[in-house]
Amino acid sequence: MEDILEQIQKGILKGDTKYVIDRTELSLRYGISIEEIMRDALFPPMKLMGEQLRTQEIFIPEVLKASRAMHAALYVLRPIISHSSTSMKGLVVIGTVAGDLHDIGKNMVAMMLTGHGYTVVDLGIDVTKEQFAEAVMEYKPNILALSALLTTTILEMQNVIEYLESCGLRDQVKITVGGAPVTMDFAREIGADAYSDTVFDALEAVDDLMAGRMGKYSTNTIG
Amino acid sequence: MSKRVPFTSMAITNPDELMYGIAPKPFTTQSGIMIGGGEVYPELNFTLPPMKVNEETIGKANQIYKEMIEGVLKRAADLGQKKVVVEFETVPDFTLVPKFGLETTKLLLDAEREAEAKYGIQCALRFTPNDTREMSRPPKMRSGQYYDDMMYFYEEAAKLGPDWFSIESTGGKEIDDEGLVNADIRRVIFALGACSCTDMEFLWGKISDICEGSKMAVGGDSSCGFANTAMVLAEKRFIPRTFAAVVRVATVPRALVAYEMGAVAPSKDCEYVGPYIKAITGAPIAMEGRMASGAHLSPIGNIALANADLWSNESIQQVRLLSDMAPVVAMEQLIFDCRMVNTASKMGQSKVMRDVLIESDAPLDVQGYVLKPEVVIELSKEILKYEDDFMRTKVAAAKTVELLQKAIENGEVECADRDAAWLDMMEDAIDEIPDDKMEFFEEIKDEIEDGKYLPSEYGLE
Ligand code: B12
Repeated sequence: MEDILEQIQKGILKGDTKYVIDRTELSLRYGISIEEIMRDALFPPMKLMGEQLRTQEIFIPEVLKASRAMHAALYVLRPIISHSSTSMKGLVVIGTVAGDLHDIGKNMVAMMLTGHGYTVVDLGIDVTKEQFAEAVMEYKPNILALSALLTTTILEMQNVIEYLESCGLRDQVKITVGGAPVTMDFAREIGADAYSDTVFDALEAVDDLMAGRMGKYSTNTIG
Repeated sequence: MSKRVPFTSMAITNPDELMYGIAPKPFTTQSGIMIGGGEVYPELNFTLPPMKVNEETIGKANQIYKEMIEGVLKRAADLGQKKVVVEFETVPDFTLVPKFGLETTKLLLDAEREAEAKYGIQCALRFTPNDTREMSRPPKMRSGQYYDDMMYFYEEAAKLGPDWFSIESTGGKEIDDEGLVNADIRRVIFALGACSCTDMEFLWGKISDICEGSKMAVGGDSSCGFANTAMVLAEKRFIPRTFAAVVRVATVPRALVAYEMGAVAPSKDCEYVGPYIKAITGAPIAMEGRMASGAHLSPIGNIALANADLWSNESIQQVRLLSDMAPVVAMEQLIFDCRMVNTASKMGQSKVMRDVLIESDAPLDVQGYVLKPEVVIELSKEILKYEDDFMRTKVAAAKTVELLQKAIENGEVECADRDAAWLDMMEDAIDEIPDDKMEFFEEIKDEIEDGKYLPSEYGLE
């Protein structure tokens, strides 16, 4: 018989939500651990699709379909996750800064992070510095991710960082920033911890921040 | 109150007559520039460098605007360009705080009059404020603070007398966004055909009323948030190019509404379906292409110029390049393009020039292919078979799918297999959409997330 975890993987790749839910419930009944289900069934297909997207073998709609199926499985696991010690890779709070409504890039970053095991709290668009600070207090994320697409709103990222400083919250989170007009120099200037300009690099940047590594996208590296 | 007058026949039926610089119904600016009267003119747009706009910085922002407009008009005069259009496309702060926007509008108009006196040139200003209604979620389209402030801004700006009004309005976009990233043509047709068009009729009715009795003429809307978002996503290889091409044509009925509500002035640069507007309404059009690559990428840099009456750079921020500030550079580039195509016309070579522009893009990309004059005329005729916005939108998408399938099969346009495969998927999806808007609404309403939009704002409830 085909391994049930493999079946879940195939179901996710096809975006077959109903099938994935069914197989996930069954694996729980078989006594497979949540860790195993997540590590060996839910995340590998998302990782594979991330790669295929990078190499232009598939399109975003296909990734989104898979991601919905994966989320459905997570939903099945959720009541159990909250009762066990299993934590996901890390918690990320993300949002587009005040005055800015562009969210397509931000949504993609959120999707990519979720697909790779992060728990993402998406605050949406036009998020004020106060709302970011509240979210940092409430969710205690590892990472705060800020997006802005307008030359007149990227400075709002600086306001957010300064506001977090003034509230004494800055040291509690690592901050990564992105959006078309943002540059590495700008990210450094405003005191962010990382900057990257594609969804794929955003993931690597967050992985590095979580691991406490100075990566390619860290603002502290030279050049 | 403005009343809608639907187009039922085409202004241009012969593809050879769809030509840059010439529109059946030219538009003349206050300073006497006749757009669409034979020549292509540059339309320059600029924007602020990274900065915040507020009470403290508005003085600095205006100083930058002053430097930008003086710089670009001087460059135009130095190069002997006698007729120039500038667009003031505001960033949201200028609409949110009308006082800021009005100050800058006045400054730009004054600078144009000064340049006219100083250099003996003719200038015009397109006024493109924001549609800030989407800042409330779900968007309230017909009332509320955002709506009131933006209407006040439009009314007061009209008194200052820019030449014409354009906007990138956002009705239905809150639903369309998800449709784009999921390449879900059903959802896009609902957003465009059932929501966007309805809002266009409402908004452009208001805009026409405001313009009536002022010096400001009624111009065109841009489906930027719909079709250009699709194009940018497709160029990043996030969604299929075929999908972006179909969305592009599906925005024609939406864009048409502005003209059915009274628009006569040139369409907006980032409304790439301009050629359809020109073919149907006869109005002149602005287009952007290779000279807009500083703003965003596109696969249609040359063909965009083939039917343009105004040639635009879309936008560029005030930053220093080796030669000069970026907007000045953009003005220079636009002028040389205009010179080239206008000279071709004088030499009796406009058809050759136009076809070079077309053939250098159209066979390479489906998004270029749908801008070929023969295709524009054929699809426009299909759209005009209906007066109902929803049917027009559905038919626009269906016929584009059909036409692209044939073109790819006949080897007339390049298309990767994985992109082409989506045409069949779209065909199946469109086939299942009913012809009646309300019937479709009943069908699709449960698929749309709660709180995403207010159906009543689009007359759906
Ligand atoms: C689509 C679009 C819109 C859509 C947005 C739809 C939506 N739901 O997001 C609509 C039509 C609503 C829109 C509105 C406006 N827009 Co706009 N828009 C664009 C456009 C064409 C593409 C943006 C996009 O979605 N790209 C695709 C995504 C996938 O890419 P991305 O956002 O860059 O994200 C990637 C990376 O940057 C990164 N990333 C993004 N966020 C983050 C965050 C983190 C933490 C990390 C690590 C990485 C990261 O990863 C993403 C994936 O690879 C750009 C052009 C451009 N050059 O960007 C203009 C552009 C940004 N817009 C512009 C303008 C002027 C406006 C308006 C003011 C227009 C108007 N007249 O009203 C309004 C402003 C509304 C507002 N208050 O924000 C200008 C900005 C000029 C300026 N001064 O900065 C641009 C540059 C176009 C131009 N050149 O004129 N726009």
